[in-house]
Amino acid sequence: MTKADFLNALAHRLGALSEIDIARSLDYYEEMIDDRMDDGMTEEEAVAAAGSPEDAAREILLNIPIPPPDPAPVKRKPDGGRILLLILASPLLIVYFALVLCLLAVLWCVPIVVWALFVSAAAAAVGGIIAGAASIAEGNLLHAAFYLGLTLAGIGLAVLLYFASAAVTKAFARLTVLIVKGAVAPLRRKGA
Amino acid sequence: MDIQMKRGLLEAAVLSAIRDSDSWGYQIIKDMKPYVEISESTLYPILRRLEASGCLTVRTEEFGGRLRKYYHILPAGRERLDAFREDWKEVLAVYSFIVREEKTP
Repeated sequence: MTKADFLNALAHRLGALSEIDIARSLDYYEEMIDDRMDDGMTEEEAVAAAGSPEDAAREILLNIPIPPPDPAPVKRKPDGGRILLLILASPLLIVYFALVLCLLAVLWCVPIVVWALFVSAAAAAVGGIIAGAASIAEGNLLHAAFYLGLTLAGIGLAVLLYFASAAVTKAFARLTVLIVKGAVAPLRRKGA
Repeated sequence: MDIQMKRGLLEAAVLSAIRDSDSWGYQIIKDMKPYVEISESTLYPILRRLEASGCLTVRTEEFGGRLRKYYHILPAGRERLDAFREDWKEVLAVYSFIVREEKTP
């Protein structure tokens, strides 16, 4: 076996090591073989004296640690401070949150309108009672009956609108939570 | 011989081979040969371990148109040899107990 054959066979078996360790190991054996040849051995004798490439590789692999594979990138948990910094640092994010806020404001107009209808119906009922009482005092019973009807209709509407307003408010509160979560989610992914 | 014991002995022997002057791989093997046979495959990991533990350093120098690595003992290596000498006193004491003459009944 020639020196080159020996070194090739050795290099082939050291594949798991780092390039530096492979180069150092090959340098060591090459130097050994060269020194033996300088000492009067033929190339073949010098290679034979170095032992088999298999034994050499086994000894090296047993004693020199194999480098671990590249560690997986560490996933960092997003923290509140980081998100706040992102928001403060980017004017685009300010615009983004302004848009989200506008969307929420528009949506909340619906429950506000329903509540306003409830207040109107209740006010109509109260107004009916007052006007009815005034009509009775004047002795105008026809007017009083009209206001009584108005009051009853107002009370009925107000009761219905109260429940409607409560239900709509609850639904929009849930929707708001969903929207806020949805708006923050892409930032968390970016920050991770 | 027990592997751990042999390992310790060979490491001390290699340090001793470079104690008085810097030396290179093949010369270390030749210097040790009258006392203990060591192959290059055995020597190489020992040199790497001693280097990693700060007992010796390696430098590369040109010799006869090629490169050769010279090994130089460091203070930690000398301390290791001193410790070996101290430890060996204890080993010898135990040895003399182990191999004492048998009492005839």
